[in-house]
Order: sequence, then structure tokens, then C-alpha cells
Amino acid sequence: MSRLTEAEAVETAASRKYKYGFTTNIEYEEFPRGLNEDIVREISRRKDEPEWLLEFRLKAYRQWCEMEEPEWPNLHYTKPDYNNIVYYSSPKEKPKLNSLDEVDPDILDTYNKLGIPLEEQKMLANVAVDAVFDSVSVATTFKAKLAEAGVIFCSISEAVKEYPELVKQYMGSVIPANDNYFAALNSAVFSDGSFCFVPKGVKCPMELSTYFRINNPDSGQFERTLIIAEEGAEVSYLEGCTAPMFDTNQLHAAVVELVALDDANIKYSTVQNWYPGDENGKGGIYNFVTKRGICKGERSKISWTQVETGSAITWKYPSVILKGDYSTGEFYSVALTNDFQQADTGTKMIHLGKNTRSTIISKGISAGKSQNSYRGLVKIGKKAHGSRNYSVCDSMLIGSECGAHTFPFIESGNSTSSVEHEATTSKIGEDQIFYLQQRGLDEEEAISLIINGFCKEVFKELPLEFAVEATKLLSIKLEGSVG
Amino acid sequence: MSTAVQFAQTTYLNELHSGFSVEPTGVAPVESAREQAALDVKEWSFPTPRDEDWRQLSLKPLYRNSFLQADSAEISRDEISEYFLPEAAQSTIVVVNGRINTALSDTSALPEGCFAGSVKDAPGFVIKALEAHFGKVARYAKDAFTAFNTAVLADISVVFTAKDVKIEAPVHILHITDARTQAVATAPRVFIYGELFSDATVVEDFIGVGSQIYFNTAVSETVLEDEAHVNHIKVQREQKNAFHISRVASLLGRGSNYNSYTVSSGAQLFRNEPLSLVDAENAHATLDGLVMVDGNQVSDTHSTLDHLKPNCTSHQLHKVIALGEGKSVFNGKIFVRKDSQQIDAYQENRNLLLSENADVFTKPQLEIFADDVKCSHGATIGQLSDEELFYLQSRGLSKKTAMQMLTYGYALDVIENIPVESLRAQLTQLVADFTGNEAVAQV
Repeated sequence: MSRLTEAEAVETAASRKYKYGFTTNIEYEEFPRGLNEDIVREISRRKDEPEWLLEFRLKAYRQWCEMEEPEWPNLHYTKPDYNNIVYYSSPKEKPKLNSLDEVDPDILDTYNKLGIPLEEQKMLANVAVDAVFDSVSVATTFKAKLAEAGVIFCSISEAVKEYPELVKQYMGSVIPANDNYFAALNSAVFSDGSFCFVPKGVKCPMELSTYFRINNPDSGQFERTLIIAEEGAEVSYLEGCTAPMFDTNQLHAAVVELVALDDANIKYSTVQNWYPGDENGKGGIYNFVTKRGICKGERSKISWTQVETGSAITWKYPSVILKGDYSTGEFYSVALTNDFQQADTGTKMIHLGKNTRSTIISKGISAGKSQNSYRGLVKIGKKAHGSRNYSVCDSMLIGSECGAHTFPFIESGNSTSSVEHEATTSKIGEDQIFYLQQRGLDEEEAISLIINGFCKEVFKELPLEFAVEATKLLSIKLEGSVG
Repeated sequence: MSTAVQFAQTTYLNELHSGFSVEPTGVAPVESAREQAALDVKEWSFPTPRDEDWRQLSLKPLYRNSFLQADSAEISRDEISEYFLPEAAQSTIVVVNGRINTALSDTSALPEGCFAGSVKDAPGFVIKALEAHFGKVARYAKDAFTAFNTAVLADISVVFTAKDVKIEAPVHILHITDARTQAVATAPRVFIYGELFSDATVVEDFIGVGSQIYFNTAVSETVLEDEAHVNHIKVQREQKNAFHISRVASLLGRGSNYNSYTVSSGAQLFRNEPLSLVDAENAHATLDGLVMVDGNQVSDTHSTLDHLKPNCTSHQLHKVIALGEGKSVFNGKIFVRKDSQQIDAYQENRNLLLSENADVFTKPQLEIFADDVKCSHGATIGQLSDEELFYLQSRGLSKKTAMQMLTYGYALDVIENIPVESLRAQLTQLVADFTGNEAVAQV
């Protein structure tokens, strides 16, 4: 490829289209717009939920009404009209299926267009996929194999019916319903999501995965995920997102809760590539996610890995509460923003137990006219003796119209603990590009290689198939944006 | 003790202000700024922990107290002799309760065309500089404390360096608050101006006498023309029961060089807000600081380095030692505005947390809007290294001595750059006294 001038590069970047922009026509069950107590009751009724869950929802709804949408993030957007959203949608038929043949062919086709063929994954990748299409799970695979190991992996609605005690015990225990504005909203109207329970001493035999899709132009998606790893259990969970192209802003307010007991190990990986809006900043997903894990037991470990490349607005802080002694929290993140995307993302590491450890590696890449912020908190409690934290947050800017910001909050009240934080901001060096070009790579390849090197520390934490996808994704996203 | 009065937090400064009478300086730009400030004090609310920038600092100990307007007080040279700097024997301004004491001051060493002294005696060229810049460098958003200072100030200490002149001797501004008889509030104000190619070193030193509590709102503004050079040293060694709220603002011209060093060990509540506006190319700013807190002292530094133009550099080293139940807060903002390319900004914040009951909060913050820049920051909170302690102990030192020695060495980093030898010696002693403290070795 020939060398691009900056103007050409911007033009190329601007003309790049969202690869996954298409919609599938599926009939939707009618549901009124807006939000009030009746809507909350109606959601609960349609899902045939027990009384306690309805109470949970109503309480959250009432608390939500009292709360205000946060203004502190470094994000500028038109606030969604919460009374003009359809809070519940699901394909009209709710089939209970055991094999993929019974799934609506339209839905299957959508997955195929996305390049996520369920069958192939089932056969080749050894991944059980709990595919969430809009709000209701329509296909669950590998269930039998998991059941054999004693792992429960199903939709939240199913778990509420089958394992009410477990759900009741843990739901809202890590993220209380009134934790923040978006968590409260989710608690009131959550539609469905995944539930995973790994019993004592079990190492989950395969990597669990959910693919999210947002398909109804007007439906907000309110996923709720709950993962519990008992003593000595181990589980790795993958979450990947793509969404079709739409003009109206879509709201997504998910909640993910992780609980790790003694010696348990939970790894949660995300590749997020939702529709970011067009080149003029029109449309795109609002992604307001609350993710938090608690290392409840001693020597437990929770690791978050995320590759954030999509959404018009990202507001997301996967956190770990290190309560058990000797527990470990990790956060690896690559956040890429282009065009008019805005991301305010980071993590919170709350050290409460003794000798707890945490690592934060955050890489932010901003291009186009985007704004990318890292916001993190490391807090060492008075009793967290001998705790350690190490944080690195690096930013890279591509083009002169974007911004990179870091807001690391570090708080320590303990004289036997230590915290280290470092951050750098840089651009891709011309000398680096020149070197690679004289070794025979073209400019695009050179940039792609440099970016991948920049993000390597994070990518190596991803499961293999995700790592491949993430590498490809970054290259596609940055196509032509460097001059 | 102070007269105990119940104040509503939001209107605290307003109420305090209404009890003060104005002493006009007779200088037009100052008085017009005062008029506006008097309105602002009424309108701008007193900060609460709900404001993001005041989240970690409770002002409750402050607004529980009432303070009287300080009048001029008599102080003899002997009472404060230990604070004088030999290098500045003929370039010292002594400010007592916000008013310049001409009997104790001596500025005879100043070269032709330069001026150091009260704004009331200022020549025409100083007034001109004031007209252009007074009150306009301290660009703090709705800052009630700066407004309060402007509204009640009784005098302004001015240091003006003429074109192409280097003032060899450091200009020493010794701010004394007399709290021997009553709880007072003072508003010391400083204006530093450097003309083209000028060079000066200004030392601001804050001390207190007496045992009553007192409250200082200290504001200083520094303006540098092209290629001017100023070293600005602020030493805050107030009485341990004092409240000191300070604003140190600077505006940098092309190719200018502004080096600010702040050393603080006093006051029960210290809030410092250095603000450097690097508004021309090829300028350099340094904002170094050393903070020592012990007992129940609280120290809060919120600094802003604003790179508004390309091709500039900045350096910031902020060190903290926290003992006892001390609390230190640091928020260092670095902005690189759009099109400010080729910026090299470096920030380092180190916190030595040596006591179980001390707290350290830090938030290094980068906001970058230009791509071709080199910006980095680092922050650590930790203890002395075990290996270093072991090494010193293996050489025969007691653990206590080893710890004191390492802490002392840690603190000297900031001090050794200060270009006034006798002050450096005084501060070295200050650090030695602090680190020789029993509390260091208690861990």
C-alpha cells in the first residue's frame, strides 16, 4: 500500500463502514414503551418469576427513581429518554430446545453472518455457547457435558426457577441494587443473562461463552450475569459482542457479578465490538456496564480481561473486591476509540484482606475525534497488611483531534502495603514505522504490528480464539487512520 | 481560644468577610479587582466534600472557628531573627499580618529599575503591570478563597525585575502572622513580575508567632515575559494549629523558565494549589513539592500544569512523608491542549507512608489532546526498602537510625535543587528535625 497523506488517511478512516451492520427480521412480542412499576411487574409476570424477585426488582426501581444519572464521567452524550425505551423484548416463540436444528433459521443465519457458527464452535472450538439473542436465551449447548462435571450453566431465568436458593443468595450480593444509577436500572428491569455455578473442587471442563446481540432497534438490553466459583473451583468465561447498525442510540446497562470462594479462580474475558455510530458520531450503542467480582475466600483469584473497540459511549469499570487474605485481582484492558467514540473505562481494586495482590494493565488507543479515558481506583484498607498493587496505564494517540485522559485514584491507609502506578502517553514513532517499512512491510502492516506489540501484554491474557479475533479487530478498526 | 460561633458552611467566608473592614491600597487596578471579588465572595459557595476537588479534605475544623481581622502588630527583629537569610540581608520584605513592615524590611540591594516592596509605594511601571495582570493569573474556577483574599487584602508585596537584569540576591518575603493575642485571619498577597530576559529568585516564607489559631489565605501571582527566569520557593512552616490555604499561580511567556519549590511542614490544615499556565512556546515549568505531615496534620496539594502552547517542557516531583495520624492528598493535573504538540511533561509523586494511622490519597491526572507528545506520570505509596534498611543495619546502625537516615535522604531530593544556600541549610535542618522524630522509627 502506498504512503497515505494525512488527509487521505482521515478520509479512508471515515469511509470505513461497520462490518456487522444488518438486521434480522424476527417478530417481536408487543411490549409498551416506558418505565413504571407496572412495567416492572409486567416483566416479572411474563418471565413467571417468584415473589422475592419481583420485590427485588421493585425495590431497585424505587431506588432508581431517587437516583440521578451520573455526571462525573468524562463523557458527553444526550441522555437517553428512559420513558421511550421498550424494556422487554424476546422472540415471539420461546422455544425450549435441545439441538440447534430447532432454532429459528433466521437467528442462526444472523450468527453465521457474524462469523460465529454455533455448530462449528460446538464441534471445533469445544466451547459451550449460551447464545443470548436480544433478551432470551434461545440455544444452550454442551449442557449435558457440563452437567456431568456438576457445573450449572444456564440462563438467569432458568436458574431462578431451578436453583432459586443459589440465585437468591448471591444476586445483588456483590453489586447491591442501589450501587449506581445503571445498576439500579438493570436490577429493576433485567431481562435475562447467564448463570454459572461451579461447585467445590471442580475445574470447568471447557471455556464458557455467551454471545450477545442487540437486534430490536428500540430495545435496551439489560443483561445480568452471575458466576459463582466454590472452594477450589476454576472457570473461564468469554463474552463477545457485536451488534447491527442502527440510527437511534441504544442503551445497554448490564450487570456482571462474580463470586470466588477459597482457592477459586475466575477468569472473565470480553471482546466488545458493538456499533460505534457512524463517522459523524450519529447512532451507536450506549454501553453502561457494572462489573464487579469479590474474592471472598482466601487465595482466590479474579481476572478481568477486556478488549473494548465498539460502542459510542463506554462506561465500564470491572472491579475486584479483595476480601479474602492472599487473594489476587487482575485487570487487563485494551480500549480503542475511533471517530466520535468516547470511552471512560478502568477498574477498582479494593484491598481489604491481608497480603492481597492486584495488577492493572490498561492500554488506551484513541484515533479520529474520539476521547479515551482511564479511570481507576486502588484502595488499600487499614487492615490489608502486606498488600501490593502494580498499575500501568499507557495511552497512544493517533491523529491530533483525539484525546487521552487518565484519572487514577490511589488511596492507602496502610503502612505495610505498597502501590505503584505509572502511565505514559505517546504516539507511533515515525522511526518505528520506517524501520518496519525498510524490512519490507507496508505502512498498514507496520502500524498493525506496532499496535499489536503495544497491546501484547493484554492479548496474551485472552483465550486463544479471542486473541486472534481481537488482533484482527484492532487492525480493521484502525484501517487507514494513521497517516 | 477563638470566639466560638456557629457558622453555616456554605456562607462561611461570606460571614467572615462581612465582619472585615476594607483598607484601600489606593491602587486603581487592585481596588477594581477588590470590588469584583467582594461580589464573588458573596456568590461563590464555600467548598464541601461533595465537590470533586475537595472530596478528601474536610474544612470542618476551619469553619467551626471565627477569626478576627488582623491589625498591624509590633514585632521585634530578635523574635524572628532565626528566619532571616544572610544572602537576602538587603533584599528582604517582612510582612506582618498581611501588611509590609518597613522597619524590618530592607530592599536596598535591588538594582536600578527593579522594585520590591509595598504596592502602595510602587512606581508607574509596576502599576502598569498590575493593570494588565493583577487578579488575572489566578484563574481558579469560582474559587471563594482567592476572592476572599482579594476582597480583604491590606497590602501587596511586589517583586518587579527589569529587562535584562538579574537580581543576584534572593528576594526574601517573610510572612509573619501574629496570633499572640487573638485568633486572626490574614490575606498575604504577592505579585511577581519578570520583564524580558530578567532573572530573579523569590523566597516566600510563612511563619507564625503566638499560640492562638489563625487562618491564612495566601495568594501569589507570577508573570513572566519572554525569556524571563524566576525561581519561586514557598516555605510553609506555620504554627501547628494554623490553617493555610494557598494559591500559587504563574503565567509563562515564550522561552521563559519558572521553577517553583514548595516545602511544607506546618499548619494543621494546608491546602496548596499551584497553577502554571504555560501559554507560550519553548517555556519550561517546574512544580516540585515536599510535604511532611505528622500528628493530625492534613496537607492537600492540587496542582495544575496547563500546556496551552506547543514545544514546552514541564517537570513535577512531589514527595510526601506521612507520620502519626497525618493525611496527605495529592492531585496533579497535567493538561496538554489541542495542537500543543511536542510537549514533554513529566510528573512523579512518591509517598512514604510510615504510620499505621496515616492516610495517603493520590491522583495523578493526565488530560492529553495532542498526539505528538511525551507525557508520563508515576505514583507510588510505600515504605522504606527492606534491603536498604538491612544494609545500613549490617554496617552497624540501629534500625531507628537507619530509618531516620533513609527518610532524611528521601526528603532531600526536593530541597537540594533550591538555589539559596542558607535556606537550603535551614530546610535541611527542618527535615532532619522531622525525620529525627521518634515517630519515624515506630513502625
